[in-house]
Amino acid sequence: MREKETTLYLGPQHPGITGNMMVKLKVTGDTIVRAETHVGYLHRGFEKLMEVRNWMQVFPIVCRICVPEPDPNEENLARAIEILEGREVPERAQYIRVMVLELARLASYLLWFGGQSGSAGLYTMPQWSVGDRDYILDLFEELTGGRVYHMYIWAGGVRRDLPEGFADKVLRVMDYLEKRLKHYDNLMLDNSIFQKRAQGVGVIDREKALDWGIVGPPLRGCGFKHDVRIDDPYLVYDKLQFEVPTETGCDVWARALVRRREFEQSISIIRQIMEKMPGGEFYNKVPNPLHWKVPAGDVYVKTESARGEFGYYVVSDGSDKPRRVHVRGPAYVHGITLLEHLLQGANLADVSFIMNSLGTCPPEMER
Amino acid sequence: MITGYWPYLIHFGIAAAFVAFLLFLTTKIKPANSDKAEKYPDTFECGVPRKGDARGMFNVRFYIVAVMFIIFDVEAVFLFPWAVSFLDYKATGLGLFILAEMTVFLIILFIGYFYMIRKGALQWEDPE
Amino acid sequence: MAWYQTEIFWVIVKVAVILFVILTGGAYYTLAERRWAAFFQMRLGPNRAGFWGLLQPLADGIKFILKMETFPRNADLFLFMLAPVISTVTSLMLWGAIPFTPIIELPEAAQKITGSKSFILQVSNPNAGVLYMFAVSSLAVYGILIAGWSSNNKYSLLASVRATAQMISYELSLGLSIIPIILMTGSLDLYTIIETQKNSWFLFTLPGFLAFWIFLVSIFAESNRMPFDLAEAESELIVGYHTEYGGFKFAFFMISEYMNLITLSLLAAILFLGGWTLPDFISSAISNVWLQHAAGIGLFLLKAFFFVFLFVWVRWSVPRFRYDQLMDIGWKVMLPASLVIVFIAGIYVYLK
Repeated sequence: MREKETTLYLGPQHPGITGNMMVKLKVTGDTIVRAETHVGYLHRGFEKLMEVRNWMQVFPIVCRICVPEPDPNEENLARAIEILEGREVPERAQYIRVMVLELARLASYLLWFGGQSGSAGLYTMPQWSVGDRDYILDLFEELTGGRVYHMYIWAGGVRRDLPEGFADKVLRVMDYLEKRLKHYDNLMLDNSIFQKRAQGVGVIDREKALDWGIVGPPLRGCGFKHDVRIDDPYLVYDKLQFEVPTETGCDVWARALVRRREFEQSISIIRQIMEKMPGGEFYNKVPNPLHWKVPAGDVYVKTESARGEFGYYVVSDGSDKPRRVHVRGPAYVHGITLLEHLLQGANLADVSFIMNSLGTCPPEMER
Repeated sequence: MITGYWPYLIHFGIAAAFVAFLLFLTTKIKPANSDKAEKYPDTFECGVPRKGDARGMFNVRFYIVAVMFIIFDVEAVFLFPWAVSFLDYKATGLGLFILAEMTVFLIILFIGYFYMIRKGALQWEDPE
Repeated sequence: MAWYQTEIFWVIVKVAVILFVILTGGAYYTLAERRWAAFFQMRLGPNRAGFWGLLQPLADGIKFILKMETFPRNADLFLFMLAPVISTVTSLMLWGAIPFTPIIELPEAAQKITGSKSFILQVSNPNAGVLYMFAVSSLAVYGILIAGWSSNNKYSLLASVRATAQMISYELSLGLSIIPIILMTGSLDLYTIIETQKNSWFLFTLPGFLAFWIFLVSIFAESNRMPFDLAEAESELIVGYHTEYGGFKFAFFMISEYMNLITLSLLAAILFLGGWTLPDFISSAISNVWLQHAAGIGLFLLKAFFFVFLFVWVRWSVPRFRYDQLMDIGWKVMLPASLVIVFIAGIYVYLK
């Protein structure tokens, strides 16, 4: 006898779902037979909005595309404009940008620590890691004036120079985070229940991983050493020493370990930057924003965000507004096709667990 | 010391009356909601309009668990009188006999248990 | 014999005292849980209502009473109202069999008033007290099952079916883990079980020690507590079987959960840690009988308090199991292990 399938709607209002999206599940008992992702609850038409704004006005829009880590968006757009215009970026600005990007990566991973363990029912971890994330947000606030959305990286540099004594504060936060990482290990990654939950769950097919266009920690969890910072270095990443950790498990546990080890690498990158930070100008003056015309042309730029390769395809027709900006976010691939695929045959308990491990981010899917 | 069961009847009466009184009290004190849609909202479906009825055919594994529970619980109940009277039998010198009998019982229980495992009654994942 | 010397009157008084204590205890356990959780999570927790947040349960109660009442449109209203009542009444009933005090010989003056020679804070001590506890506590399954069924919500129904399967699975190992104790005592009544442990707790005997761990894991699963709280798994089933409940009906579920935890803590202290008994070397050092009783009862509550704290401690330190893992542990580890422990206990008692 065939069992009756029950339809379960996870989302748009569900505590286990990151952001506003819906996963429609056909379940028998608590095994998922089929999963369908429905997005559209957060669509604000970012790409279209950019086409009717000045180049300068686009910057406050792009950072809204991903809440936990807005800076790769700004970096992408700024770099696209710089390439189109042939504008030089002072070296100090490049270092500051790398610092901001890595700080944003740390903040994003801290949020992930909370989300991953919160979806497994370990509610102490979100309280700890989100609390610690606030120290990074404090740094951002001092540096840029904003805690979540920074609008700090501009075409041609950054908006402000580092405040006085900022380097010491950053280093102090890094020391603190390194100390806390041991606590995180004890609470979450060394916990045998967590390991039992994570191992062998959400296994990505290694052969198909590249075909599907998976990037970031999920791909590195499959053993591919793919990282834009190494493959196609931008800014000053080629002057810094760091490793790209890989795991071979292809499951949630492998992704967790990759993120955990990247966390350490980011801390070490920031320390190196603070050592090597040169003096000098921090931006190249841009023309009057109201009459700022970018030469015609098109360019694809990519940045390694915490969730993987983040690409922008920017087309300019020589006017004061972008002709077209296409955002290629990792969450689109991870959160829709890959998630649907991984959820087939999974347990109901693992839906939000897998979602968190893939770094699903609804506003980015629907930019 | 009272050893009967009748006090529990009083206990039950007072507890039930107390709970019923509190429920009654809340219906009197709470703000009145005359709006029918407000008082009888749809069941929560994560913000999606409800479709169909929740009650339907359910996964058969849950019933298997219930059946296994009944089998093993009945057998566990047999262990209780044995456990209570074991010391008495031991005092009369029949301890080894009673122990052996229970060993046989436990072995039979284990045979049934292994049969159950072999049959895949505890396999929670779908075989397909 | 005056009316206040009858047994019935004193039963009513005891019931009233016990109900008051258990309800207050349950309410304050919610506060303690929140304060301790805040402590583990490096934040403050509720500390505004009264000193140290001590009036918080009262404020919560007032808020629950004043909440607007809603009923799901397609729910079975009678069962919907019945479910929290069943949950609460069963957890209130559980305290009836627990002997909180030893039999206290009353002084002359008190004897004249009460009409009886001795006093014990226990509603009744039937000769199958352990079975009474298990029978009533397994009734709590109905509260959860009916709640999920009547609210006609898919998440609630799934959660309640899960919770039912989980609770009955672990009830087996819970029941079997008691048998070593019954073997060593030769009695099912709780008073005798406590008295037998006067000089050696059952925890310090071999079968008792083994059974204790089975018992400990089983009570966590029985009370739907982390790491087994799949009935309320937030990231999968919203809040589980009481998704549709609000106001005081929700409060009933919550308080009954905490009352059950207190009851299980007391039961653990009674069965394995010797209840209110004092070993001979302590009781001989205390000359005053009343001081002896006070020390014993204080120790009893302290032991139970350890378990009360343990429930919170574990909850905020571990993630929850997946459902198939939970059932695997219940049926493939706990059940055979407890059967083997029963066998070991049989041999142990025979050889002793």
